[in-house]
Amino acid sequence: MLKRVTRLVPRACQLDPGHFLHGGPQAPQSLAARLDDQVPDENPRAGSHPSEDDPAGAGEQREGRHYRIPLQDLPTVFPHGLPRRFSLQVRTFNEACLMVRRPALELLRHLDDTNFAHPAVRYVLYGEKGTGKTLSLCHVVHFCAKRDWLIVHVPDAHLWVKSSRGLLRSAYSRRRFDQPVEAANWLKSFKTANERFLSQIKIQETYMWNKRESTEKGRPLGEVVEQGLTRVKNATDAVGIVLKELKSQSCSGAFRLLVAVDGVNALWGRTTLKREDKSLMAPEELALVHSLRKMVRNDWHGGAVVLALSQTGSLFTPRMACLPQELLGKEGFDALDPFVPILVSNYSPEEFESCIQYYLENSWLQHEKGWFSSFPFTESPRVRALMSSHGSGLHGLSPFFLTSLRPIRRQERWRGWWRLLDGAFLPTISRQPRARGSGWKPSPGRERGLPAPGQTHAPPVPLCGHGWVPSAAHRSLVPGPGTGERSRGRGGPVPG
Amino acid sequence: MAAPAGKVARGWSVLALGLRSAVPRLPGLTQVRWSRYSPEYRDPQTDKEYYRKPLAELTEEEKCEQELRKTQLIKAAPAAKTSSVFEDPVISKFINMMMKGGNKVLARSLMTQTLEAVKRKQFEKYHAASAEEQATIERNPYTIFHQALKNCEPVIGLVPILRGGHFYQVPVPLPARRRRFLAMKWMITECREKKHRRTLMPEKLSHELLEAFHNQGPVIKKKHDMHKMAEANRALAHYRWW
Repeated sequence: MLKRVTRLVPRACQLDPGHFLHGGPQAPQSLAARLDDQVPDENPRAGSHPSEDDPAGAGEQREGRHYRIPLQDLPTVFPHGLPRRFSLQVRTFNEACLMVRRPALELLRHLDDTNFAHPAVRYVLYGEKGTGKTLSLCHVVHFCAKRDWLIVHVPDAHLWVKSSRGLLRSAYSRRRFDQPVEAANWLKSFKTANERFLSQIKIQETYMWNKRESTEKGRPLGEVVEQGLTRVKNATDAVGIVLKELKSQSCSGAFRLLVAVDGVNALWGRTTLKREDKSLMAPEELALVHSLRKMVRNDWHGGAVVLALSQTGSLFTPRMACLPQELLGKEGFDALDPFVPILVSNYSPEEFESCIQYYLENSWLQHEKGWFSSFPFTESPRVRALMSSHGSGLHGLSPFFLTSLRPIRRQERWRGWWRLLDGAFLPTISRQPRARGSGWKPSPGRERGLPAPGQTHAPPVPLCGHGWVPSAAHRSLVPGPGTGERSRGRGGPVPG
Repeated sequence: MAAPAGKVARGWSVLALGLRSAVPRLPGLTQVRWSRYSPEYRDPQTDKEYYRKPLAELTEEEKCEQELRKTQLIKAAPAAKTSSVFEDPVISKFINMMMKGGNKVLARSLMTQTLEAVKRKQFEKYHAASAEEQATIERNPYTIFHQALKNCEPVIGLVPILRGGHFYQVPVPLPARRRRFLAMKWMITECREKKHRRTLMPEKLSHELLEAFHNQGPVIKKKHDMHKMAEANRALAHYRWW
C-alpha cells in the first residue's frame, strides 16, 4: 500500500542548520563524527531512521525534513523568544523542531556564497500570511549563530512604532524621540546573544553621555551596552552607537555581521505614537527607527541583511497586502532597492505530509479520526479533493493554520460565508468545502494569484506581474518563469 | 443523531398545511418551541457512513427506509450540523450553551481553544511524568471532555412540588437529557461566575474540565451537594406521582 518507501521525516537528527546545504560527498564517518560532537542523549530517536539521511545527497533532498534546535541554545540564540505559537509548540513537545524549506535553503546557500568584500546584500522574505516568513528568518539566524556571526536581530519592528510608553525627547537630536523601554529590552537581548563579541570589539570614538559620564575610545563595546542598560535614558543612544560601531567595524573582517529584522515594513509605514500636541508621529522621528534604517542600507560590507515583511502587526495596511511594493510603499521600496526577493509560500504536498508525520510522531493528533492510516496522505481522495477545491493560498496547507487546529475563515475574501476546512488536520469543521466551478468567481484583482485548475499549489515564483520586476542584477537569483511578465501597470516604479 | 419525528409527544407543531395539532389546548398553557415543519417531515441523515454502505449489506428495514427517504419530505439540516467525522453532538450542544447573543463564531472558537489548552496541559504533564505514569495520562481532549461531563451528571435531582400551599423540594430521578443539561450548565456557570474576571474562558474551562475528569473540583462538589439534598429530603419522595 505504501507508494513511497523513503519517509520524509527522519527523527530530527542533531544536525546544525546548515548541514543540508553541503551537497558535496561526505563520508558517513564524518556524519557520525559530527553527530558524536553534539550531545548524544539529545537525539534518542535518530537511531530509528539510520540510513535515510544520505550525506552524499544534495541539499534539495533534505527539503521537508525537520531539524532540531537544542533547547539550551534557545535562550542564547533567541533571547527575546520565538514567535508565540512556535514557542507554545516548543513547550508542548519539549523540543524545537523547524522544517527545512526551500526559501530558507536558498537563503542559506546565498549566505554561504557571500562575498564579504562586496556591499551587504539585502534579502527580503515576503509572502502571504502564515506561510513561514518569521520561522525562515529564525532558521537563518540560528544558522548564522552556529557559524559564529554577530547577530543583530529585531524580532518585530512593529512593536517599536506602536503603543510605546515613555517617549522622551532625544538628547542627541531635538527632532527625534527616544524609546527607553524598547531600547533597553533590545540591548538586553543583544547582550545575551552576542556576549562573546562585546569584549572583543573596541569602539573607535569617545562618547559623552553627560557632563560626568563618558566612554573613551578603545573601550569594549560591552561598556556602551552596560551604560544603556543602567541608564535607561541613554538606552536609545546606546543602541544607535552600537549599530554605528558594528557597521563601521564589520568591514575590518574581525566578525561577520547579520542584520535580521522582522516586520521591516514598519520602518517605512506609519505609527500610532503621538507627540505632545496629539498629532501622529512619522517613523523617522523615532531615533530607534532612524538608526535601524541606516543599518539596513547597503553601504557597508562584511555581512548580510535578511529582512522579512509582515502585514500581521502592521498599521494602516490592507489585510491582503503581501507584496514588497504594497507593504513597503514607495519610500521603503526605494530605500531597500536593490534587494533579493524570496517568496515564502504555503506548504507543498510533500511538506504538508512531513508536517503531519511530525505531528503523528509526537502524538499530537489525538482524535481517532484525526489521521489516515494510509501514507502518503496526499494520495487519499479526501485530501486530494480538499486541495483541489481550494485556490491559491491553500489555507489547509498553510503552516500557521496547521499549528492552530482552529477553523479558518476567509470571510474577507468570500464575503461572509465560511470556508471551513474538512480533513485530517482540523478537528472541528462546519461546512463541506465548495467545489470549484460552482459559480463563484474570484475578484479580478486576485485572479493572477490563482493557479490553473488542476494544479494543486502555486509554484514558488515571485508574483512579478504586479508592477514590480526584479532588476537585472539579481534576476538570475530569482527562479521561475515569472521574470518574463511585464508589469500590469500598477503604477509602481520599475527598479534596477 | 437522526432522531425520528418523536417530538410529537412533547412538541406542539403548527402544521404548514394549516391543520391544527390533535393535542387539545389546555387553558393556561401556551405553545412553546414549535416548528414550522409538519409531523411528516423527517430529520436529515447526515451520517456519511449510512450512505456508503453497499447495497448487499443493508438489512430489509434499512432498504425500506432508504426507499422511503426518496419520496418523503426531509427537513433542512441546521447550519451547525455537519457530516464531518469530527462532528460531536455533545460538543455542539455545549457550544450552543456557551453562546451568547447568537455569536456562534466566538463560542466555537472558545471551545477549540479550550480543547487545545486541555491537550497542551496534558502533554506537559505527560513529558514531566515518569514512564509508568505516562501510560495513565489521557491526552485526547475529547475523551477528557466527555468523561468530565459524565462525571458531573447528577443521578437524582430535586423538583419543587406544590402541596398545601408550600413548595417542597422532592427528590426525583432525572431523565438523561436533563442530567446532561445540568452537567453542562453547572460547568459553564461555574466558569463564568466563580472565577476571576480577567481570566479567559478557555483557561478557566480547561482547568475545570481537567478537575472534573479526575472527580474533583467545584462542579463535582455541586453534584454531591445535590445528591446530599436529595438524600436529606428522602421522606418527601412519596409526593412524586410519576
